[in-house]
Amino acid sequence: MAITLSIVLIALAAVGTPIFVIILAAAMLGFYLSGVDLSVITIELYRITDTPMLIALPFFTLAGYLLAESNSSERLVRVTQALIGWLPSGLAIIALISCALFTAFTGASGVTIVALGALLYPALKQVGYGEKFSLGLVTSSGSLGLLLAPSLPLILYGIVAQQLDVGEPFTIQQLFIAGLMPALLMIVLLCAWSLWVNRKQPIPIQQFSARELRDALWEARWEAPLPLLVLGGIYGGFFAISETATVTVLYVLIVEVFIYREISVRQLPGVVQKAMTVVGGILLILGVSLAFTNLLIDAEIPNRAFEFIQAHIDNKLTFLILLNILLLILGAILDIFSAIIIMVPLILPIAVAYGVDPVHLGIIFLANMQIGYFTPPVGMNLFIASYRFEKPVMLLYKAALPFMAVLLFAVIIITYVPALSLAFIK
Amino acid sequence: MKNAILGALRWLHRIENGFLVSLVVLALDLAMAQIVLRNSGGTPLVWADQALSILVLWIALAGALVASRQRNHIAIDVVSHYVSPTTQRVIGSLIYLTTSLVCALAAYYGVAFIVEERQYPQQVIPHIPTWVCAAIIPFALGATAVRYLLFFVQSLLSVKPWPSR
Repeated sequence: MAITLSIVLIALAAVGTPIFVIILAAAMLGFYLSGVDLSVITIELYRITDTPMLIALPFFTLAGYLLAESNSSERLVRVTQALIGWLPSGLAIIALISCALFTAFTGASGVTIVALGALLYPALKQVGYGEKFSLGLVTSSGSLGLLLAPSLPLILYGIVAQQLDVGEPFTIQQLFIAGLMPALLMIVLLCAWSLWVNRKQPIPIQQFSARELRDALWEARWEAPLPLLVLGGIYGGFFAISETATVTVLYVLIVEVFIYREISVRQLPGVVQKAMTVVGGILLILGVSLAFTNLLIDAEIPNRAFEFIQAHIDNKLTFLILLNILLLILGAILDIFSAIIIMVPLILPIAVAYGVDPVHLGIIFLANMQIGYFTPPVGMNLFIASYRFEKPVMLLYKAALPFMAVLLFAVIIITYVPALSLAFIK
Repeated sequence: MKNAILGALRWLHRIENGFLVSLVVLALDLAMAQIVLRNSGGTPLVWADQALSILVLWIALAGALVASRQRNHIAIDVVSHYVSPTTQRVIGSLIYLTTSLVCALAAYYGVAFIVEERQYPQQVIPHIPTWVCAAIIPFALGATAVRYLLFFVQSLLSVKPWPSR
């Protein structure tokens, strides 16, 4: 009966039943079959309040919507053009770098796509990039930067791995240093690919003009400090993530509503409502996933799957290949925090037995998870992007595939060239 | 009669929107107050971080309720492009019914949980028992169940759904 119902649920998901309904139904079914009272669902949903820094999600989303509703993307395009427009594919490069930095502190929870993607997607299209390329770029950039400090998943990996006391001990700082080169490799490869794919696209390249840069910066003078506020707030240690989100949204609110006056006070509730509808849709899925993940752990499904694989591997290379595949699938299905908490204790001892450095494993783990975020058919960021840009998920599947290929290539290098991660810490 | 229903709906939607926006304003005020207190040498409110987390839960569920009203939940759309409008309507009805049933079941057990919680009240935020904080969960699920049941009935009767604004 459980199998029949599972098939029914999968079919219902495929025909367009809301994802949260499917996960909720699966969780309830699972709890029912294992004899747990179904009121546990409410407890599990309530656990969302234990997720650290949750407030950053609605605030950063709102800031992004406010920026999207005003003309800031035009001003950003102008500044970008003035700054690096003389480089071919300038805006694509800026998009990649800014998304990576943003994701580094927001932890790829979809915030990057919702907030920054909303800004970059219209801008990319405006300067002449194709729709599919632009969608693919902002979707895949939504998880770029997971390897950069101060990414939460990286910190979480460090904490979990250190508790296990397996292999050589390491610090979280070492983990941050180790992530730098792999992250850079990904950005460079994506930039190179953007250049290659748009080589025939008539994207205007302008001569560098100091005067235009000055004018563009003057026009955007109220928004230009924004990256500094966010970066300085966190790297400078003045604010925690949630505080940075608060200050950012208030700053953006004042600038767009009272200084640029591009959003009227009357329009404001509508913008808030739109942003929070997206937040609600995402967090509801996160909440029911918490319940479902717990169920999987109770049923020891991750354990059993791994025991099976362990029995069939005899060398490091096969192990790493299978590890990559497993992590890619996991990354597409599980949220990164649960994945780390569940899988690291299982994988790390085995990886160390195969001769993999714990720091290197952390980088491999997150690099794979990053791709899982936009792996069809279930990568979370595909749905978030589909939601945010009001495009069919199928179009996003197609748009994301080339970027996936580039990043898979990066992951292969990261996996099989440990020196890339370890050179600066050994 | 029809005008009365539409008028009532408009008010309902206004209340929902207002509620959602008020929650966000409250969260912003609280977060800002906390920053000011922390950086001005004052004592930050011990319960504020927990309260903010709970506010996010409320914002999420109130937002999800609006998403339900607009039938705007995240879903996979592999099939809708390849089937006839009639098949699409049949599938649509099925989705509405499933969503309504699943949410109703979850809401039912949610209410049971809240009723039980009320007997052992705890407080994380001063003056507000935990069961009140959690009560939004069965409420939002229940309201979503009602909404999708109405969508189901409307699609069975082939009438245009009510406006969602």
